[in-house]
Amino acid sequence: MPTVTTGWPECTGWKNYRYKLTRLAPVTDYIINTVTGEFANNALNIWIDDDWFTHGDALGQTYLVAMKTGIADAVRKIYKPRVFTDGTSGLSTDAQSDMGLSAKWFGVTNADTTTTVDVANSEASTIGRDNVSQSLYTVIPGLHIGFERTTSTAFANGDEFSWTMKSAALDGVEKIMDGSYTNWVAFPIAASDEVYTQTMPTYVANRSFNLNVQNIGYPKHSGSSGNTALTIILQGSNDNSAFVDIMTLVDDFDWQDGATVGLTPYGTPIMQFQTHHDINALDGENFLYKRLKFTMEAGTGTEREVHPYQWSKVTIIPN
Amino acid sequence: MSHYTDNVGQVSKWTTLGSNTNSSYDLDDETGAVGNVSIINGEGINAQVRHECHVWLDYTDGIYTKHFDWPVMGDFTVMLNSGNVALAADPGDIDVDIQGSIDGSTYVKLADGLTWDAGTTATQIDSFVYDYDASGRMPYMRIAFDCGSDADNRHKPIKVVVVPH
Repeated sequence: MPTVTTGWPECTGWKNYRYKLTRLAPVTDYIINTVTGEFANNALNIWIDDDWFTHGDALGQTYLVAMKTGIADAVRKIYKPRVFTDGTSGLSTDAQSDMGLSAKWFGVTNADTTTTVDVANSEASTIGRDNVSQSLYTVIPGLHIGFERTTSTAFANGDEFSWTMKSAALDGVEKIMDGSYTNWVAFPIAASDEVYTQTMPTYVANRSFNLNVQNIGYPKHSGSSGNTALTIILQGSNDNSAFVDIMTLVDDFDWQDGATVGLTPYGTPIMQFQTHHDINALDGENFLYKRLKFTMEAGTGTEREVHPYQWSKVTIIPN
Repeated sequence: MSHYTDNVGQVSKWTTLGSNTNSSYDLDDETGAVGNVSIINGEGINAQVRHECHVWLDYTDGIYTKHFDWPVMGDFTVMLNSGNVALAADPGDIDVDIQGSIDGSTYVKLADGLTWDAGTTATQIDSFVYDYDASGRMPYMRIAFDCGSDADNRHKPIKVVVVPH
């Protein structure tokens, strides 16, 4: 049975502001609780570009990343505020956080792919505290981690880095209000799953707009084969209850097609795609309420499941 | 859809005070890429208020103007080589596009501009219109040049002028 979710936690609300992607400073912006193994040599770097970490049920929670060793090391555990996994308070459960012995959130290797983060020779534009490029991974909407430069076999089982965010972490971070509206969306996981955003702000709903989707890495998959077919549909309603499809904005997009050919044509290890929606006077597309529907099309072939609890930034820039 | 990295050093800043005379700044002079207009006493009438920058067509990995430092609120016309300079070497067919970005770092193509045969004669001026209704806007926007050949035009910048409608 396909999973259908609307709004939180798969989708945050729409906001008309965001923050410049900024690397935080330990002690000042977050408290480091535990550092073991390779993390003592190369600590995780924490980056933010939104303020969702200040959610009332998120502040005070301890984020934790734990590794496991292998032919290439991998991230086994990611604990985060549970409000971002199932909407309740506290810390995420073991089932939501621990991939166990056989699975992984992602590997740490020398390439950015749909199953790995490059820790050995990243060409990302984000520069870590060790003054070299580091690829990022999104933990919660607007909060990302980066690995300082190391090898793919540097970590031991159980190497752990945990931290607690401070509410003052945004002090001095540049706030951006440029007429765009931002929403973080966790993509549907399996074929035929559907994720619906909250209704779009009235100001932009019936205007032409550019839709931009950016993930600060590549959304990670489980498994090693198959394709991902993300489709984004604009929907409308006059009662905020019964919605109809207006038009397809993005049709059957598979981000791994870029990953498998390396950094080109992407250039930097970031997934980003954009489309423009043009409203004119004769198209009859005005509704009182509009929202976006994200779905993974089920077609021929094998569909790869996307990991849960990873968000992409969805931005609307109205004309 | 495509992504480009920013490539500085091949373009000047945007200015709102252009002129109808050619500039001769070359890349051997590092200060040349910064300055855009030379205002000489007695030549004030030669200055016009518009959005203008210089571009050196001597690279094949993508040449990008700095992002527009004015708000895009409608259609605009882009004029290429408005100073009517004859290039030193032929960069081949140049794919000119309008790009946009959310963060000023990772850009995507918003619209095709034109394929411009710059050549080396002094008559290669061209222009295109960006359709705002069709392609919209993004917080950061710029013009991208993808040259067909690696030609040495370090001493021959062209003027690019953007005229909002």
